[in-house]
Amino acid sequence: MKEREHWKSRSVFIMAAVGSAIGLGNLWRFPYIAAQNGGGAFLIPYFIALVSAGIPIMIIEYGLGVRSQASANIALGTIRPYFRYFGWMAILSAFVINIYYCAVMGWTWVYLFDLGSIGEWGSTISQSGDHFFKEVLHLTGDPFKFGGIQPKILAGLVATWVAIWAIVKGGLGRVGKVLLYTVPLPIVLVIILVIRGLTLPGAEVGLNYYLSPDWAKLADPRVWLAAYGQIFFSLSVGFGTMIAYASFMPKDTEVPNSASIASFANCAFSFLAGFAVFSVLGYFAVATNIPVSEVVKGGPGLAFVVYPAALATLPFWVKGFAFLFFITLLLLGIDSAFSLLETVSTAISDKFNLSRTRSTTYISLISFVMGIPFVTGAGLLWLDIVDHFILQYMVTFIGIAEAIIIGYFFGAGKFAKEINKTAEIKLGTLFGIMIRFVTPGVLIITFIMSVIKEFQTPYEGYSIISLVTLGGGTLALVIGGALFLGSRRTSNDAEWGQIEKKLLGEEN
Amino acid sequence: MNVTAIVMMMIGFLLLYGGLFSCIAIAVYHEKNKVEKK
Repeated sequence: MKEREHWKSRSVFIMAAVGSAIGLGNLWRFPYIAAQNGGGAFLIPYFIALVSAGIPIMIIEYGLGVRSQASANIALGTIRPYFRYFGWMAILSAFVINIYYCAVMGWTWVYLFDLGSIGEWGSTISQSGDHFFKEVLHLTGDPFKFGGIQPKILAGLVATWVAIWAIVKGGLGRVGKVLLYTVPLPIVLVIILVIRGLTLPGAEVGLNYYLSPDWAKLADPRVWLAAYGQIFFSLSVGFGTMIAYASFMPKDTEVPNSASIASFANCAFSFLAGFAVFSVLGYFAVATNIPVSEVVKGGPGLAFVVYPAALATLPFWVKGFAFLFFITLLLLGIDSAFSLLETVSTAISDKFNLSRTRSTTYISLISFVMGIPFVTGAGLLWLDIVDHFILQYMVTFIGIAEAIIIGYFFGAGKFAKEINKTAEIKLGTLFGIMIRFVTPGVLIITFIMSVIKEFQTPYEGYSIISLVTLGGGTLALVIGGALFLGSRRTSNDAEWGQIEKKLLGEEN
Repeated sequence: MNVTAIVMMMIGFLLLYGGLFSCIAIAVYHEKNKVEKK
């Protein structure tokens, strides 16, 4: 078996994990979710979710990677052979997520190159929305009416795939060097945006909206579920990336504290990003005489409609700050995107004994082609549906599976004992309780509630046929692909070789 | 900003950044000990 690459140091590994976890959602999802779920009071369930579920599951993923020195399929397969299918489901989830994530990068490129005409984007939400939905996306309103490929977004998609292909195929050394820019730079840029935001008149109105606590919300179980959901999705667990990244560290790598640092860094950044978002939203609300609640949006609506509208009304250096904002989005997305590519590329490379260059090239080409529907007029609708299904069901399911596999099949105590040999923060009984009960319990409740809600009201009012085709089709692709890859055996198959060796006790 | 928002801001920074820097401090301490033992 070819020798496995390693990160240059533990710091590079943690930085890579942080870069993977910190993405667009930290900017456009956390602040919105926090404001909608109790404001400052949300910090309480958020912190509790972080320490009771986020960090434990991060520890599981790091531990699996370090222990197995391999991707998710092998990491789980060495516990029980059929668990390798869960590993493949995680890896294929990463594959799917990257397909549409890169399309969002494509939108960002379009805005960056279009900065010269920022005056035409609109300085009201309505105008800015028209610009985004009609002029940039050419949104058709029906997932099956493609409305043609949008050339500018396609160009952005190409640029993104070329960039992440070049980075990942160059090996961990190159990835590590790129991370030195893509991780710290967005933090610096967000700090600049925070400073700029705080100096704007009306900023305090937005910040009060963000942070004023509504303690009554803490009695609402949906707020707690929102907190656990936000933590889980924000940390980039459940799609094999953290397992892959940890597998590039030596077997004696410290796990619990490394997982804690990456998790806290991710959440701390989200909290800071909230100031950049809400200071500008507050300014915009005051400047346009609209209540803050009406300008608060999450997701692409924030990044590509409301925030650009607000930027367009700045008293000076409009293009400069718009440039900073969109470059921040690009940098936030790029290291998440190449971590997703790395996850899939490594697994395929190991399975089929391909070189890094070949597996990265094949995966990039296939993903790019599959991403074409996401750069058409129906792209945003496809993204909305596919993202909802893959995260709410597949990734959540993998999270449940990982917690149960380690908690019950491998044994939380046995896992903790192995990890504690080199741990800076020792895992005790509490870890076992979290992994065996809290994490799977909350995720199972979230999963069930999502299923119930799905049957009560079709997601976002989409037609049943589009939800079944796109959403169900995505899940079928991931499950079918996992069954195919997991059951296919080749003579050079690293997956089977390692699984058999581990189960026969030939390796520690 | 109103007083409660300021207090929640401080709590947020304390919990999240306090947690982060505590973990980093633990890592640095252990790395230093490892180097001294060598």
